[in-house]
Amino acid sequence: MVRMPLTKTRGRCGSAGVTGVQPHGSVLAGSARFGILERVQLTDASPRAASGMRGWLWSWVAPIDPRAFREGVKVMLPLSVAITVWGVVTGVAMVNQGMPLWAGILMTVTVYAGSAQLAALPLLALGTPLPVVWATALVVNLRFVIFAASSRGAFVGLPLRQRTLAGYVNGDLGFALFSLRFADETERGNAEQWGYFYGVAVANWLVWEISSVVGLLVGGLAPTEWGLELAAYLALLAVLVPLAVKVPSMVGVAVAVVLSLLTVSWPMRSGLLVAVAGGVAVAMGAEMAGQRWRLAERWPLPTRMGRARTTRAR
Amino acid sequence: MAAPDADGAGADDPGALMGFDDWLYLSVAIVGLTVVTVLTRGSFFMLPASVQLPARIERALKYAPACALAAIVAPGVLARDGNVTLGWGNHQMWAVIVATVVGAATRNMIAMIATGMAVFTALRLLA
Repeated sequence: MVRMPLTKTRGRCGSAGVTGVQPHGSVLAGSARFGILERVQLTDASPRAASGMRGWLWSWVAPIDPRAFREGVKVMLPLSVAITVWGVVTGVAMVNQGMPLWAGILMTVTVYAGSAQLAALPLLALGTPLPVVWATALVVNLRFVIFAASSRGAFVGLPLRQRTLAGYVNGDLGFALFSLRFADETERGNAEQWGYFYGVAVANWLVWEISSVVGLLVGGLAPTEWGLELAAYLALLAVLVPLAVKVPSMVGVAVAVVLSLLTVSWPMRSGLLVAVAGGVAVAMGAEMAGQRWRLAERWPLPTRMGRARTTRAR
Repeated sequence: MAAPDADGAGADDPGALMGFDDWLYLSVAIVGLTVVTVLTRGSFFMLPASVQLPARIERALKYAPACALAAIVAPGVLARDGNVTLGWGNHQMWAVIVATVVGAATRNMIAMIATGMAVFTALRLLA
């Protein structure tokens, strides 16, 4: 009953090749949009039409194609092992460093950003002033701003609350999977894409929350001499290493390490932001120097050499 | 106001109860951290489509998270009570060095955490 119109609309949308949420003014676009609306009504008319609390909750979620949703969940299954390790480590780190259970659960449910949570943890343990804690989490999370800038295409035109929720759940993995899955699709923003997105996001959220709570409950059992807080730093390192494969970021990271160690005795961890600022500045400088160096030195061709000389002389 | 031991600056302040024992401090911290997640992840989702990320800012943002993570991990692993301890006796340091090499080679998070903890535990028990 549901499947027939599903395949029909998908074919029509694909052949139309226009976005459902950014009308291009053509008849085809109109029909594609109508197709989506038709499908939405067919697939989740009941929860969306519901009044009261249920309808309000559904109003936060973009239209979902159930089949794509299941596909998203399935894609996450093999990856859930890594999320589980990461979640358990975070949970264990939270209780191990002395955070009360209620705060650990509240934090993992609401903050929902493993690296920011782990980064804030040692600062919270020392009673660091909150602006420093928030600024630190903000900087760690800045990579999400780039993710948001490059993955919002499929959500442009949706109501603000749907965009906000989609952004909130758009973590590292979800971003990577979504970009891969719909990389060659010209149409951006339809129930299939949203369904896949939410399938990944919901699976990610569930695995993360369950494993974090398991870590929170189990973490207290481990003796402190096991040094499990190291696992939290290793988990942060696991996020850091893929970010620092290129030379400029490697240089920036090295500078940040040195500056953070030189400023370690500064009050209220104020050295942390100095280290970040210094690292970023040097990384950007290294990037520019690298571009100039490539222009000037790396091209063995004579023509390029000629051009390179002038570049260097300038 | 040069605190001799910056690591304890908040905790040692008489009258200022902050840290994990202060439920109000923790609650406000968590609310703020949630706002930070929404603002960063949701940033461009919430902004109108006409607002683009300027190329120069994107370049700076590209490097900030890695530097921030390094600036958190390095003092956490290499410093004790405000003093940097680099040396054979710092087991965490060796664990992190080995884990970094493993991570660069394999890009496998689980392998990184496992080898790091294994190195640390071996050094703790044997050295």
